Amino acid sequence: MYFGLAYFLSCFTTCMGVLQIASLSPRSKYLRLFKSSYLRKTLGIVLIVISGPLFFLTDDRVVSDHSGGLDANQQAIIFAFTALFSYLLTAIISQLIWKTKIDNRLLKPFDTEICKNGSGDFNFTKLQVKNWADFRHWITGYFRP
Amino acid sequence: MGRFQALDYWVFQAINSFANKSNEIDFVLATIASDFLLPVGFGLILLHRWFSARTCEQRNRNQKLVVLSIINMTVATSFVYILNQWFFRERPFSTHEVNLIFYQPTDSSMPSNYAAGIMGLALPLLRVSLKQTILFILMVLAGSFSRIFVGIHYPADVLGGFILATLAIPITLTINRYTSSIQDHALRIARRLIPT
Repeated sequence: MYFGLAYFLSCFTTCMGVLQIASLSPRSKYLRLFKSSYLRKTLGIVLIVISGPLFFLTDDRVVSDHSGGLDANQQAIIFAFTALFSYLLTAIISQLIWKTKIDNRLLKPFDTEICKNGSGDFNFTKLQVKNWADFRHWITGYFRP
Repeated sequence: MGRFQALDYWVFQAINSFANKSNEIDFVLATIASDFLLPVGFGLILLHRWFSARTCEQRNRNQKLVVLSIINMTVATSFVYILNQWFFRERPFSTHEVNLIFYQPTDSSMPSNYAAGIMGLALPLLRVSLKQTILFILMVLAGSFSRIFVGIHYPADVLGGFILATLAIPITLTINRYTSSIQDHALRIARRLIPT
C-alpha cells in the first residue's frame, strides 16, 4: 500500500479514537458514536491501540522520505487533514444516529447572532450551513455599494 | 572540545553497543525512533486537549496551549534549520563503526531536529499537570534515547535539540504576546466552525 495512504488510515483510526475519548467531556457530546460513556471510552482506546500495529507491523515504516516515506511537512499536512476529516465524519455520523444537537452554550459568543433567526436548536450540519450563509453575506457585503 | 567529543562518543558507544543484540528490542526502539510514532502521539495529545474541556475558561486555556505548543515547535525547528546553514556535523555512522538499525539520514547530526521538535511541542504542555508532565518527559526521553540507540545521533545532538527548544521559549512567548489578538480572532472563527 502507498505509504501516505497507510499513514492517513492509521492517523484516521487514532483520531477517531481520540475524538471518542474527548466526547466524554460534556462540551463535546455532539461527537459521541455511542450513548454509553463506557463504550465510547473502550472504542477510543481500542482504535488507538490497534492503529499502531496496523501501521508499523504491515510493512517497513522506518524509511527515509527519499525512499518512499514522508517528510515532516507532508506528515503535518496529512495529520491536520486527517484530524479535520475524522472530526467531520464523527460529527455527521453522531448527528445521523443520535440526532445530537449542539449545546447553545458552545456557540458563545456567537449564540445570539446564530440563533436569532432559528429555533435555537442547531445540529452540526445546520450550523455549518448557517456559517456558510453568514460567510457569503460577509464577503458580498464588501462589494455592495 | 576534543575531550567533550570523546565523552560524547563514549556515551554514544555505550548506548549503541546494545543494538543488534535482540531483534525484538531493535524493532521496538527503531519504531520509537521512527519519524511517525512520537510526532503523531503528540499530535493526538494536542487534538484531545483541543476538545476536552469542561468549562469555557478551561477550553480557552487548552486551545491557547495547543497554539503555543505548535508555535514553540516551529520556532525550535526553525532554529535548527538556521543553524544547519552554517554548521554541519557528520552522523555517527559516517565516521565510526556503529550498529545501525535505521535508515541513513543525510542532514546534519547536530542539533537533532527530532529532539528539538518533540521537546518544542512538549515544553509548553509541561505545566498542565504532574501526571502529564511525567508522561511527556518520558516520551521525549524515550524518543531521544532511541535515536542514539539506533545509531543516528550522538547524545550531544539530542542535548543541542533540547537546548534549542528551551531557547525557543522566550521567542515563542514574545510571538504569542504580539499575535494574541490575531490568535483570539482565529480561535473565535475556529470555535464557530468546530464548536468546543
